[in-house]
Amino acid sequence: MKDMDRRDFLKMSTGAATAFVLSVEGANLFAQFADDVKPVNVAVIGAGRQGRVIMGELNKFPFVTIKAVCDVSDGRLRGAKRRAKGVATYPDFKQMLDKEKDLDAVFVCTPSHLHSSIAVACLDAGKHVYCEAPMATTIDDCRTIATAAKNATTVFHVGLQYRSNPIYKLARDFMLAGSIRDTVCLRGQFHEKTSWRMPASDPAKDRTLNWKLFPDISIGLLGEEGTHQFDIMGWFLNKLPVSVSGSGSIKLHNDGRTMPDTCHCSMIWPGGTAMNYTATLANSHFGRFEEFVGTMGAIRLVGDFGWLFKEADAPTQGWEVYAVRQNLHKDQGITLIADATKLAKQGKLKEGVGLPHPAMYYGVQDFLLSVTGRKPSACPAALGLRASVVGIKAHEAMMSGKEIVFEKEWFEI
Amino acid sequence: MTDRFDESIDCVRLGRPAMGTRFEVAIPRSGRPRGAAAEKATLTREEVNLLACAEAALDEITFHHRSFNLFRRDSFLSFVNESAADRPVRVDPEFFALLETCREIFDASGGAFDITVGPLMECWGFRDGDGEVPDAAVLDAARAHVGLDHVILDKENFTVRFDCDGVGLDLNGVAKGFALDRAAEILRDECVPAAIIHGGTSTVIAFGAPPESASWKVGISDPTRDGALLAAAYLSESALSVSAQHGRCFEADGALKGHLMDPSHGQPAEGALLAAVIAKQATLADAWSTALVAAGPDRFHDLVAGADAIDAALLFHGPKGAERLDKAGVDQELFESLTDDH
Repeated sequence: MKDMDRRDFLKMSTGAATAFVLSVEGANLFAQFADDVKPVNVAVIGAGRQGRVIMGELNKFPFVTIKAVCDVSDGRLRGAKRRAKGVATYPDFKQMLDKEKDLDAVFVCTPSHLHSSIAVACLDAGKHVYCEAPMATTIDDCRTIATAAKNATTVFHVGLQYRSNPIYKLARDFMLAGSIRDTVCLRGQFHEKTSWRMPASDPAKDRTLNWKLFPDISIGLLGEEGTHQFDIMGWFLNKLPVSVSGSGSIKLHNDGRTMPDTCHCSMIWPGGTAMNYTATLANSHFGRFEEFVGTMGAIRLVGDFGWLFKEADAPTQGWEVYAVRQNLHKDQGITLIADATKLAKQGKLKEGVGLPHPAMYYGVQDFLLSVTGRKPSACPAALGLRASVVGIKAHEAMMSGKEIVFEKEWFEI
Repeated sequence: MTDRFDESIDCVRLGRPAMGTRFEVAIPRSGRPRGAAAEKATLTREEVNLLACAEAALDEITFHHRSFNLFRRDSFLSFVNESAADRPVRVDPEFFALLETCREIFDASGGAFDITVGPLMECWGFRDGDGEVPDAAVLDAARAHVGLDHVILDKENFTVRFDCDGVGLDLNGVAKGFALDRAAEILRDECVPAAIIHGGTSTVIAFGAPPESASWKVGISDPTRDGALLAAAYLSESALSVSAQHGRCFEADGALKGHLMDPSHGQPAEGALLAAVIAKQATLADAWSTALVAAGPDRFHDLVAGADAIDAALLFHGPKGAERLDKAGVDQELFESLTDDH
């Protein structure tokens, strides 16, 4: 079949079952911001790894100006000046809010246990706020932010960026449309060979820089990474978890830390669906993924890619004949492609595999769409509270070695 | 360069794959037990911090690996290449400064170093393979899109724009050097007194020196003799880059066609076997070693005479076999000959 014939066939054969595949929100979304969009002045508080990635994505939006960056590290502030033209730098966020009167929005990318005071101060100052996830490290702090956000007239958006990711949104549509039928179990992992330790030549700065390693202020791997992934599970299932238990240990980084570098947790969801999750800094095998296993198939997501694996007895849709497939050992997965309609029309379906931007881009974009009044926040504080509570309690269960049953009121503002 | 590390230098060492090779950071440490005792000894605070420094340096390299990766749709460079023919694309000051450096070297090398060489790499099959001779029409079409004159840099707004479709930036000739400069800066910011960081066997940056030495000694492999060294370079507060056609090449019409292009002729560069360049910055060393192989032996002395920031040597196919050229006035200690053959 010639390319043109194939495209015509695709146009004709897209029935109800595939409508969601081909109408998913586009990957190239600049069109969503009209040419007359008003300039948006932003500040980034916390210029570490996340702050730097966010600055890189912000530079892609021509109407955004990064006016100020705040961090306690001189080196990071020097780096910030290389990443944003004419940016003002501050060691203290209060000083920054005081001096930068024309800021519209603030990105809070500080250590998680500091989010609460900073995010609330920014909301009180009348700024739109993008706050990294987890929203905070205690339920009380999460509620404090959520209450402030509820009372604010500005946008509050928590950085659960996978909720903005076109591939994840597409996969969720598949899931809700019954592609894998009844959920059997869930799996997820975050595996990375890294120490999580920042250089701290001055021992006095160790706690400030290596906050993730201090159990009294950090919620560890399950809180920092698991929060995002548990949220994806709950978002896809449209449910809150029932209970969680876990264990943790130090497998590689025996450098004086007490925070486990390797964690396992088992989370039970309504209907008895079990989720098995591991996070480690001792091995990078298979990186991070989330997997939904059902009676008719499985969906595997790895951030910028996603696949649908169908059981042999699952019904076949006409469009599947033309789907892009990839082999993973003995299984063949249908690659989930965002913006498939447009790409199919252009005969470029295969070029659409993966995402044209890093996952962070889509979270930043959703926030900017809210700030410019184009749509409500995709990740409001109530969602941030729900996601963060799951991460906080998973970490607590892992550290205590005891099962925790989730209580409904923990999720309420 | 040789990829063998002198194990007698007691260092904290950490490596990671990036940019199609393996990067490694080595930082000298003090007082570590040797042999079996080392296995059981717990890490000192100094060692823990040095490992964190090395990891931060590698994180920096990984960051630029992702930004410059042409094989990923979501890299920043792919974003620029996808968008800059349609509209000016804003880039950050650091990236803009790199493009300006590339333009300076493009001008100084008479176009031998050219970051728009991508269409040539593509049609000669070196983008994701070991190469093939292109059709003449395909080659002509590719050449029409090569040349930094197609790239408009606006310093006022920090934007980059292409003057037509089909132009693209390919930073492979400079990315390793740039990443190494940034990684070394991370270590210096952390007050690390001495370190060496290399990207495979092509580019290395060093500062300070190993204990009881005045500099880091780096061997340059001889491309004409397996396992032999051509020369040694002594580095301290400096970088070395070695470019060579061997490795990624194929044979056609009895000639070896390598992956380093001569942009002015749209052909794989011929004549030069290897160029070695020492400069204060790895970015310069990396770009110039590419330029000198592309330019070949005939233009070597003209180009290096005008390039004050570098010292250089070139190995080429001469009438008597492999012959060597050195930049006039170069302190011969920089490239200590290990053999009389060249």
